[in-house]
Amino acid sequence: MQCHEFETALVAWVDGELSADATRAYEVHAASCGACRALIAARRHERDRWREALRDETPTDLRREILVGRPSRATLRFHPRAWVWAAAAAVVVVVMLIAPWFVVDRGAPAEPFSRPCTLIAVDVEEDEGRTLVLPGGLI
Amino acid sequence: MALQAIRPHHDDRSDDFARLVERDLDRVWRFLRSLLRDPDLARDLCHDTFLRLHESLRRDEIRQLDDGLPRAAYVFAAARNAAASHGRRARRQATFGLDASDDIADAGRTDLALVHGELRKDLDTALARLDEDHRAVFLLSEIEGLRYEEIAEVLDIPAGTVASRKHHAVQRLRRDMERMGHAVS
Repeated sequence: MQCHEFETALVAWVDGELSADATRAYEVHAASCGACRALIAARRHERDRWREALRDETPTDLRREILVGRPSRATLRFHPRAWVWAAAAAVVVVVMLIAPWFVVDRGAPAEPFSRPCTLIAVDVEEDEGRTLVLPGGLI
Repeated sequence: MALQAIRPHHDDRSDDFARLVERDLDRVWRFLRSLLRDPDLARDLCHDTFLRLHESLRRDEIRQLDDGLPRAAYVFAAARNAAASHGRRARRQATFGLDASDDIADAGRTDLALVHGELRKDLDTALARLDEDHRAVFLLSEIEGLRYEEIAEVLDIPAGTVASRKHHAVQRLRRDMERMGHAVS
């Protein structure tokens, strides 16, 4: 094995992903090549540094939310059933708002006029069979 | 299901789900946060991932909850699918995608820099320059320690492609990190 071949498969070798035969060839080369042994050490060091740097703590409230239950914004945004419930709620609100306009108060006694009104006096005179209604007189 | 969220009941499956969260939430969070480079989005998709896993448990689709390959592949595949679904929706809506603008990446990096320091900030910058396919392979292998076969299953690609992407991702990251003054001694 040549050094450039060693370097090409270095990442996979450090990851333990080479076949048994390739691994043996690697070990033979590494035993006799100080430069390639240094590459192995550098790659392991690099991997450990990157792994450590990218370690992230899960937000504490996220774990609780997942276990206890709170819908994510994405779920609410895209789940079709959420839209159904929202539409149903909107219909209920609209019905509640307009319902009083259609409710008849059946408890009150019937009266000829439910609101005050003004009688307008008019004059009526016959004109060739048609009835004309003119303002200014009593019916 | 959307409004009831993930609400475990007192049965064996809720115990399974609690164990699943305990074992895998940190890994899924790390993966999605670094893959998407947007903490708020990662948080939402993390939630969605476990919502799907909860449903899978309820339907007995996850049968092996030990540390074996099926569970790891299943969990990360769920996370990857959640991210991919979001990416498709975002592209349709033409708002932003997985490879979003630098403004979004910068917003996440500014916050992270305060917490994790210069190395983390620069590593995030270098990761942002990788395309999503290489970034996913790198994160699953380098950070989460999955085998190439497992990653191939998660991403539905050949194991040889995983090896190739990992190699190129490391080369590219190393070059960028060296330019930012983080040469490996």
